[in-house]
Amino acid sequence: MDDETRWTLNAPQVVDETIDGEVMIIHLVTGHYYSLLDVGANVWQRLRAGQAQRKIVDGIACGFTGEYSVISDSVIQFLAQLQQEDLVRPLDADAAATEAVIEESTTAVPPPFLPPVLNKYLDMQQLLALDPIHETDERGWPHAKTE
Amino acid sequence: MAPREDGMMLQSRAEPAAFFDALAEMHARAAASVGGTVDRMLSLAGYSIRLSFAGPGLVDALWPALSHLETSACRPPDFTILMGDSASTGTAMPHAPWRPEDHREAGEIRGYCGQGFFTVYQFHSDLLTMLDETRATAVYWARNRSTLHVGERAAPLRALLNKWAAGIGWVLAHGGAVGTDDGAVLLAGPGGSGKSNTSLACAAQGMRYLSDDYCLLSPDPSPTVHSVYATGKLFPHDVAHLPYYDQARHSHRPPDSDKLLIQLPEWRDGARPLMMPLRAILLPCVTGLRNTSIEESSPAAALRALAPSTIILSPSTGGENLQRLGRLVRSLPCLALKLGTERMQIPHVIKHWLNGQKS
Repeated sequence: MDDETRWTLNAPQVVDETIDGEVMIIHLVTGHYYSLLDVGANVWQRLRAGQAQRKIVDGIACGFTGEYSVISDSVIQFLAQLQQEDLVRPLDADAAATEAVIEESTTAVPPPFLPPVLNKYLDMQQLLALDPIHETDERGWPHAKTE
Repeated sequence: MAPREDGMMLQSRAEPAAFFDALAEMHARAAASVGGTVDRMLSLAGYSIRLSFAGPGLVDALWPALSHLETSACRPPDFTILMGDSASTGTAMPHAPWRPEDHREAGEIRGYCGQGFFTVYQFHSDLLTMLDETRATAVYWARNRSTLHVGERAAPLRALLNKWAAGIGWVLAHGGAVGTDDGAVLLAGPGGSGKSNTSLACAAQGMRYLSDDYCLLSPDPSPTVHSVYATGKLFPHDVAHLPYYDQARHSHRPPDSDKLLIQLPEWRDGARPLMMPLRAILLPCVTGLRNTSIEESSPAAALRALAPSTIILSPSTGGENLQRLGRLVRSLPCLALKLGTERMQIPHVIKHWLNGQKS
């Protein structure tokens, strides 16, 4: 990934919603769900607005107090983690570069930068029975494997 | 076949339509072989739904959970569900035209969802559901009623109702709901958080009961909760704390469940509501303390409690349902229900809170 990379939500298997600054993300295939707060939610908001990697880093560096290089490394690592979890995918370089305007914080003293955290919850997996042990017979229907 | 945005391939309408025809024909044949259909009419949230059972095979297993919605209205149904099972009718399911890899998350069948069709195979119940929106008709077919999972007996037709609800802007939510004359509260949380115990404790003390596990929510214009199932589930050891359900001790416990399946009896005499305005979302959690209390929580916490288990079982409606639940939690007080060990206290605390909303 480079400075100009932009991402998009890995829809339709991933859905998201933001409430009171907390982002909830649900991966409908894996059954995992996630929450983001603070810097992580801020990065997500920028990513969803269509900002490129460089602009996301710069925006976070302006909104929080900290060493630019630390912020840059941390944000880029976080973006890679979001992609690794299959929550976002990079847009093609030739995709139309539409970007939504986001409201920037205007606090006089930016809060200190804390590395973004992707909170991951695994408790829904059991509900999904994602890969039931089954076989398909000649009629095309799955059946439980007999011991 | 045309590629879809998510890479899944949509078949033309012809293949799903032909398979749906085969299922409908199977239902007709099955009904004829056992002396005809057993028809029941439901009224759910203002819509009339005809359940057409091919013989009595599935009636005993599924009707108790839905019987409180029965209506004698004679108007034509808005929606028809052709139901039955292979074992009791001696009628084999038609050959499934899809490949094993087309079985997707939550049982949805690739190539047979979209363009007005929705097809789900529930492995644990050996159960196929297929909806044709154009015909306003669905087929619900089990191989054998004895393989129906206890969750299906307690809350039948979930996949279908979820899809139907999404089409009218509603959500079939994973949550309990109880209330008083002052309105209802939704109880949201993962399994084991205390939803069923709280709901059934409230019902036992004369509060309005709409659900212990699944209910219909209409977020707009003002949040409303609708009862869908007349059942509840309790662990046998919990019955000792809720003597109201003592007779449930003698009820049959399904072999695939640790819980007793309870039939809420009072709907028959009109003592239970089918719909109520929603006043708050309560997030139950067991504290180990003696007393129960209600404390502030947040819309984000409510969404975390409500959304994952509601949405993950219905991937095809996940995005729209998450948005609707988002609107719901923003529009209502979201509160933590800290459950104490004095169970009889819990209904009073909820009633007291609801009563306080009048002023």
